[in-house]
Formats: sequence, structure tokens, C-alpha cells
Amino acid sequence: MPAAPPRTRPAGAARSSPSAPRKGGRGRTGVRTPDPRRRLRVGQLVLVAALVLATLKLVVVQGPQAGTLQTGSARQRTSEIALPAERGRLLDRSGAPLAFSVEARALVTNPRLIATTKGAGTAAYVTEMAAGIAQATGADATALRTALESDKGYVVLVPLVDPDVARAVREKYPEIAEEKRESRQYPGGALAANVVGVASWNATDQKLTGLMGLESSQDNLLAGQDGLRVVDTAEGSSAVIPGSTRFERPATPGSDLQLTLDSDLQYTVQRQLAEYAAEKGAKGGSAVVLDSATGQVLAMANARTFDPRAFSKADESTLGNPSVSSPYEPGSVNKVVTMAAALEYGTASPDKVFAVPGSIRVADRTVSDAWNHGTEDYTLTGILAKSSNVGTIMAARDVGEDRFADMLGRFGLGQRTGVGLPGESPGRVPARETWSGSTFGNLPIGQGLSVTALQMAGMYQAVANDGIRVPPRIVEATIGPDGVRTPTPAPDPVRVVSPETAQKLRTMLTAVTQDGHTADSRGTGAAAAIPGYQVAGKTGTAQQVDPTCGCYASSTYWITFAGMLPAQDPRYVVAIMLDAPQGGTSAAPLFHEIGSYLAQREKLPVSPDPQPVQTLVTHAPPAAAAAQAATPGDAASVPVDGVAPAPAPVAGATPPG
Amino acid sequence: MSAPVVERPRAGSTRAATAATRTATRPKVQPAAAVRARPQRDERPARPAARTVVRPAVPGRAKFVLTVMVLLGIGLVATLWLSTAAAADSYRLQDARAAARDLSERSERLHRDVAALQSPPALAQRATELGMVPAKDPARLVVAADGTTMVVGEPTVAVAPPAAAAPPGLGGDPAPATAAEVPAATSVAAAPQSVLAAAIAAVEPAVEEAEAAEAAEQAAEGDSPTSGTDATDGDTDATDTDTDTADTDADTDSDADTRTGTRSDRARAASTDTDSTSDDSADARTGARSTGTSGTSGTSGTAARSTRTSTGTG
Repeated sequence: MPAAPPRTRPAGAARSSPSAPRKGGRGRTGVRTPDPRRRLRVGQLVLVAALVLATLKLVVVQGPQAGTLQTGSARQRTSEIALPAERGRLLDRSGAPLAFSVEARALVTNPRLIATTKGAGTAAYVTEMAAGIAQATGADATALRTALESDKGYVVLVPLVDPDVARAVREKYPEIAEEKRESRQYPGGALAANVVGVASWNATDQKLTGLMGLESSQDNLLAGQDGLRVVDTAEGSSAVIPGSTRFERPATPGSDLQLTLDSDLQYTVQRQLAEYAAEKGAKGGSAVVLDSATGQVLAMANARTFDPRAFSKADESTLGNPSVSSPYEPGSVNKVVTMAAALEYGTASPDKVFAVPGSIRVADRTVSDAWNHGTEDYTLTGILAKSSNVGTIMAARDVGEDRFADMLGRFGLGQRTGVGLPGESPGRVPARETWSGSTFGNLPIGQGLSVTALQMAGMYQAVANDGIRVPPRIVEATIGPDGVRTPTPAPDPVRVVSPETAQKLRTMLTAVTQDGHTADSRGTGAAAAIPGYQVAGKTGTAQQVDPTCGCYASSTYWITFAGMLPAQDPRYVVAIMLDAPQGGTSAAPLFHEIGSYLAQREKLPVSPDPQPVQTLVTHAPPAAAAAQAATPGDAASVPVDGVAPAPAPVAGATPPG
Repeated sequence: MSAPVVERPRAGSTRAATAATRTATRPKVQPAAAVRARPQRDERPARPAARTVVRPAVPGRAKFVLTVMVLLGIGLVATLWLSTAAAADSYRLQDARAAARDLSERSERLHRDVAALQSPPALAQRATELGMVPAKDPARLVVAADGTTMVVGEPTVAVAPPAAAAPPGLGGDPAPATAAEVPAATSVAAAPQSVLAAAIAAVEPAVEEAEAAEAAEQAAEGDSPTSGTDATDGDTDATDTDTDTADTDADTDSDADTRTGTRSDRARAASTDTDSTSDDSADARTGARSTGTSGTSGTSGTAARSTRTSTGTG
């Protein structure tokens, strides 16, 4: 044993330090002998302690601190890149685009940085730059220069530029940066603008957002779902490290929306309405064309509209869609409800004769006709064709208040049609229990209740479609991003009157447009007649409410016309409303223009039978009475005695084989 | 006691042996270590002997080494070549991507232009510039079964509406040109037509086959249910134009087609040719497809057809 320690020592010495100097020091081993051992132990302890510390730190880092550290590192290196989804298109019924998106860029810069880097040469450089950008993009050079000279950290120089132009500008001026944008295109300009609406760039969400119309109400469908890509980037820069994509969800483009509108018809109706309203000095106006079998909206026009391409300059009052949002009193157009009820419940037949006095007392007020006359014998058809208020109230009394109120509901008055447009008004029909004594003197002649132009078209669509009212729809289908076309579910049809009643009503309505040989056989809407076709329709005039006194105004009217073409087998229903045109205006000539266009365009077969001349009055009234047309609208349409009767245009026409 | 001493060399530690040799202070140990070490050294010469036996294998090993070197060399060259090729391809890829981007941008722009040019307001404006006016109430010819015809309505000359007919906002351009007042001079006619033609010519190469297929599909769906003969109207090719010409001929004969009995011939005799054509082309897309386009010679007829062709490309 004593020999063993010395032997191990050299081994340990050799191991720890085999150098020669140690040999020399070995003479002092007697003194230092315990040192290496202690040093070793201390070294061991230190190493163990270091290891323990390292382990502890490891546990702390991997355990409690792991979350924070990971988040911090992710923040430093990973970036989320949004993949913008393309907004869906709005198409007309033939697939022609009414609104679609194209890729665009915004040119932005930091004027303050330009000023610091260019120093004294800033002014000259900025001028040159403004001129260069203006030349490339067509923007205003002065405005650009003002923006570049402003003391701001961020300015948008040109909001929407084609990508290639933006690239060229950026290559020429390195201070300019591009930002991705989506530019909404409205190739037709004001075409159906009130229906389609507007979408514009939303800087907060970095995407197009609908502001009004279908663009707004169908925003979720059109916008699609933005995609997301998570990548690593160098800190403080947007340079993506290749192959570092951690997560990617592709963007889902928005769905396309196909409308039932017909661009060409829409354009024509819009133009004709605007021209006619301007010519007659109307404040506004609406026109709606429906397909009589399906209730689809083929055209929906407003006299005052805007151009979405110049949206910022648009007059705010032109932005809405009065065809569905602004109810008005329909006037005599509503008499069709009274007539439908009378025929449906068998209280009258088209040729039943009423002895119609010049005025009639209803509760506390007196209702008179628009022209002075004594008691005359009008047929039911005559009452409708001449638009006699007194006769209509007499027919309505035979029907009774409850059955009349029920018929109003069946025609869809007071209810939203669910057409699919935002801001639709249900109109207003007083509830049956709130009726006063005089209410029944108002409603049958179309006063005291309000409808929208679309509801008015819907009423006549029921008559045109053999008594079945199909609530109108304007969105035909949705075309998903996968190309799958989902038609809009068909609305539930409502049986309003029997097919026989509808047929009789149509015949009665043709009397409105008949231009007989005498004043007695002439309807109020003769101007709506189209040579070669039978036209059924009804004129209407309703006094507007004067907001200053809350009473009916004596000089402003809603002039309406609703009708269908061709009368014997209707294909189109047209409803027109003019808001406060000058005196003596009728909407019938506008119906004639729209109807004539439809007949040409759709190549409607010429009517095989001449329009029947129906008896309106059973004995001739004093000639002077008919000439007393003093008020505009219906009254103005009453023929003036002495006008030479024109021969029936289709008389003697041979039907085609 | 001596056991460790004996065992140490057995452990084969040369370091221990050298250390032992160095420790001159311990003579007791030295001989033993020397004795142990020596036989080891003596064994060494035996190894070369063994090698001489293996020596015939040396050419094989050299071959192996050579093979490995060659393989490594090939690998190196291949790697270099591949990475060079990849770098070169990445440039080509970049170029191709830029080209694809340029083309898609161009296609997008042309689509936009075509959409704007074929919209009803733009077509109406161009028709007006060409001096065309919408016909109001046309007279119609009704052909009876026995071939006799009858005029329904009163044929009248279509009159141009007063100037500034287009209401604000419905013009084709945000700032509509005032060329509307110029009568249909050929110089005016040439300008919009060439614009259209340029647009069409530009679109055709850029827009892919899929585009044509789409157009054909659109046409097949029958966007104009009443125009039976024009089912292929959506196509961009020249056959469209041919069909039109044929239609025109048939229409002029008027009795060949039984449908003309109910459809109008529009009393072209009375209204001027330009006018009735104008009406049709102003009708735009589906409307313009009516077979009623009368065969007019000269610019307006061509304009109507080129309008139609441009429609198909959209």
C-alpha cells in the first residue's frame, strides 16, 4: 500500500501536465502534495456547479420562459402576408359585366425623406418628378407637386395606376413605392348605377368595400376570403427568405352575382326616363320593367342617377334607389285592385252599368271626378278607362271594406317584395282596424296609401300572369369561385285572382289605351297605345302632400302609369312614376316609347286581332262636359272634343299564318 | 505488489511505457518495463513481413482509391454543373415570370377596354357619332300565308333627336365627345372603327383559347332566345360576319323566312338605310343580333358588324 500512492502520483502528474518544468517543481512536492488533489476537487465542484447551473438555466429557458421567448423570436423573423381575394363581378342576365375588378397600384412616397436626402436640389428634383409621374399616369402635375412638397411622412400620389405604369415610375424614381390596390371598374358608367352601387378602396381593411347598392348589401358574398401566408423575413425588411413558408391558406375569390337586368333594356329605359323627366320638368321618376311570367326585374331606372366612375363628384340626392326605397301614392293606378275585387267576388261584370254622379259623399268628405259631369251611365270598363273616382268608390262599396282590404294585401301592398336590394320600403297601407269613415273613400282610388314603383309593377305582373303574383327578384344566380352557379331560390307565388278575372281585367285595361272614334270611347291612356299591338295599362295621378300644411297640395302630383304588353299574352310589365312634373303631363307617352322599343327589340309578334273597341258610356253625355279638363294627369288625358278620330291602326290587318 | 507492474504493460499503454522509461528515479521498475517493452518492439519487425504477404493487393487498393477519387471528381463536376444550370434556369424562370405578368396585365387591360367599349352607353355613343338615330315607331310588314303583305303602322323617316340627347352620366366616356353633331361622314366613321378594330386585334392573341371557349359557351347558352339563326354569335371568328351577310340576304328576300311574317321588316323602303341600321347597332349586344339588320353598303354596315365581333370577344 505505501508503494501505491507514489506510483499513482506520477501518473496523475503526467496526465495533468507532462511538461518538464513540472519535474523541477517536483522537489517541492513535499509541501504541495495536497494541492493538486484539492484543486482537482475544487475543479470538479466548479464543473459540477457549472453543469447544474446550466441545467437549471436550460430548464428555465425551456420551461417557464419558453412561450415568451418563442413569441419574441417569431415576432422578429416571421411575417404574415395577406393574399388578397379578388372581388366578384356583377353581371347582367347575358353575362356582360356591370362591375368587375382589376389589379392596380397606388403610388406612394415619403416627401420628408426626399427633402432630407436631396437637400438644396429638392425643388428642382420634385418638379421634374411631378412632371414625370404626371406624364406616365395622366394625373395632375400641380397636385402632384403640392403633395411632394408637403411636409409629410406618407402621401398617396396617385391612387390607382396600372401595374406596369407603376413599375416604370418606380424604376425611374426610386423614392416612389407601390402599394397593391384593386380597382373597381364600371364599364357602363351610370348604367344601373343605383342598383349596382359603388365599392371603393378601404385603407383600413386593405380591400374594396361596398358603399351602397348591391355592392354594399352583398359585400360578404362579393368580397371573398383573403388568404394568408406565414413566412420568415429578414428583420426590418420585407424580403422573404426563400423556402421559409410555414403556413399558407390560399385566397378564396368572391362570388360573381348575376342579375336579372338586361343591360340594353336598362340603358334604353334609363335614357328615355331621364329625357322624359327632364323634358317634363319632373323632380324625379322611376321606371321598372318586369318579366311578366317570372317576375324578374329586367330594368330598374331612376330619372336621377350618378356615375360610379366619378363617385366623389356625385350629387348625394342621386345616390339612392327610389324605385324600391321611396314610396308614393299610386293614384288611379290602384283602381285595378277595386276592379279585381269586384270581378273576383262577382259584384260587378265589366259591362255592368253604374249611374255615376259627378261627386259622391264618403263620411265627412266629398269625392268628385277630375272632370265635371252630371249623372252618367258608365260601364265598369268605362269607369276604369275614364278613371272615374266616383264610379270606383261605388264599385268598391259593392265589394265591401273587408274584402277590399284583403285584396290589397294579396296584391302585395304594404309588404316588402324581397327583391334583394338594400333599403327596400314596404310602402304603407293603413291597417284595417285603423280605418276611419273616409278611408274607404281614399284607398279605392289610390290615395291614403303608398307603394314603391316595384310594388306597382308587381301588382300589374299579377294581372299579366293570370292572377299569380310572383314577387320580383333581381339576383338571378350566384356563381361561386369554383364556377358553380346557384340560382336564387324562386319566390313563392301568390294567387291573387282567378285566371278568368285576370283575363277580364286585361281586357278592361286595354280600354284605357283605346282611342275610339268619339270622345266617349277614348281612354285616359290613349297615348300609350302602340300600333300593331294591344296594350293594357292604367294611368294614375295622385296629389302630393304639401309638407308645409300637411294637406294635399293642389299643384304637385305623382304621375304614374302601369301596363303590360302585349295585352292578350303579356310578356312585359312596365311601371312608371314621375315625381311632380309640370302640369298636363301624362306618363303614357313614356310607356309608349319603352313598349315600342321592347316590341322592336324582342321582335314581339304583331297582334293578330285589332284592339277591341269597348263601350265606356252607354249614352252620350253633353259634349262640353268632357272638355272641362282643368287638372293635369288623368284629366289632361281626357280627350278634347273635336279632335279628329284616327282610324284604328291595325284595323283590317290580316293575321299571319 | 508486483501485480500492477506486470499488468501495466499488458494494458498496452505505450504512454505508460514511455513514462516508465522516463522515470529514471525508479531503477526497480525500469528493467521490468524494459523487458516488457522490448518484446513488443521485437514483434514489430514481424509486421512488414505480414505486409509483404498482403502486398499483391496494393494495385487493387490503388484502383479503389482511384475509383473513389474519380467518383468524387464526377460528383464535384456534377454538382457544379447542376448548380450552374439551376442558376441559369432561375434567370430564365424570372424572365418567364415577368413575361407572364406582363401578358396577364395586358390581357386585363384589354379586357377592361373591351368591356368599356361594348357597354351599351359606349355603343350608343359611337352609333350617334356615326350619325345613327334610333327609329321610333317602325312600320311592320305582315306576310300572310298566301304571300301577300300588309303594312302595319305608318312608315316615317327617323329623325335625329335634338343635340345633347344623352343624359349626364350615360355617355360612353366620363367626358363625352361632342362629335355627335357631325353628320355620318366617313372620316368620323373611320376613327371609332379603327379603335375597335385595334382593340379586337390586340385582344385576339392575348386572350387564351379558354376565352374563346367561354364565349362559345355563352353563345351556346342562348343569350338571345329569339334569334334562332345567330346561335354562334358569341364567336370571335370570321364566320360570324359571314352569317350576318347571309342573314341580310335572306331578309331582303323577306318571304324566304316564315318568321318574317310576324317579325318586322321595318319598312326600310321608307326610312333611310342608315337609320334602320343605326337602330340595330345601337341596340347593342343581344339586340344587335336581330336578323333585321338591313344590308347597307359602306361604312355603317361594316361598323355594325365590327361592333358585333367586338362583342364576341368579351
